[in-house]
Amino acid sequence: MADENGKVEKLKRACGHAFVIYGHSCSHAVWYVISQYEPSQKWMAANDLITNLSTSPKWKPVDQRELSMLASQGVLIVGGLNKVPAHGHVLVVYPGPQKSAGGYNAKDDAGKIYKVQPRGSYPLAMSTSSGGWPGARSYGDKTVWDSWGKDTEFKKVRFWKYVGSGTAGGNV
Amino acid sequence: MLKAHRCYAICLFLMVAAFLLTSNVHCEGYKGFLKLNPDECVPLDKKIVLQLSAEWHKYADFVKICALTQKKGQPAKGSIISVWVEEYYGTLPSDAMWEKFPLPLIVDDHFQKIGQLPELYPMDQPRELDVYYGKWQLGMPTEIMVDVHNPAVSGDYYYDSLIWNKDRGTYEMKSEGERYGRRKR
Repeated sequence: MADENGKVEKLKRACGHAFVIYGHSCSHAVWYVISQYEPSQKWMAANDLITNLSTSPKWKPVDQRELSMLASQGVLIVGGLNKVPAHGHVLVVYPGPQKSAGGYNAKDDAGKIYKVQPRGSYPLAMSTSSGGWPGARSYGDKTVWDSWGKDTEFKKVRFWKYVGSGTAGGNV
Repeated sequence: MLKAHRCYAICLFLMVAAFLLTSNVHCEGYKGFLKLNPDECVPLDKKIVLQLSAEWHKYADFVKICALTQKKGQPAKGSIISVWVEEYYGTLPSDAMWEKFPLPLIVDDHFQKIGQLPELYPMDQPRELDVYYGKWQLGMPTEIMVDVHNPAVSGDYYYDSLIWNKDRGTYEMKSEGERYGRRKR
């Protein structure tokens, strides 16, 4: 698929910078990507950002089945699940075809390394985290499922695409 | 002066000891409950696995049984049967896909189902389960608690206790949803 107007390249570049600069804070990494589209966007913790996305006219809910296709057209999509009173988690859908979740190594409680068995087919993610879970650290090499690592939890995750003001400035 | 210093040192030692003792109690589990030790679970006789529903048969070599007893060696009136998923994948190529495994069963001494755990024991990738059982009546634990260590972003959680319903002869959970955070001790 041709990258008309360089939208996909812009999204990939923003994700790459966010992953490197804010490798230990999902909210900062996502904020960095959003700010490349919406410079006035203020940083918010994940729970607040999710509330903001779900109420802002600049963001529209998007179905999980459309994520990969839209991101591969360069559309900025943010996904997240809040946790009260704890911290929620947010990520950006990374352009590219879906792939299996899992397939990487992790450590169990005793420090033993095991393989997270591959499963399903999910859109790619740009995700960072302050925690040690490898599934939440992705520069397009893991999926939107891996941060949560559980089907029932992932079903609660919501996604929003950036539409800007609906006229100029949006990316759809 | 020396006496004061010695007294201070002893007091400090006692305070540290008391703190460590208390923290240890909190880390170890719940008062009056035993923690299921996966190392004490043993392979279940394949003949018995074949008596379970068909979804278990494929995993017959990897099914173990864990006795719920107050003291080691006692005959168990209740047990937990589960697929040791990590051992199963140890025999497969590393890129083998995750499968839909049957959830662990709580069974009576005739291997009849009297309950079910909400996730695979001892590990449901990437989560690890701690199972506690206690409040004994007539050799049966009347309460089973499941705490989940979850390394993924949502963190640790627990489930409502499985409570023994003597009228129905089953363990029942009030609500099946995850409760995030730590269970009150």
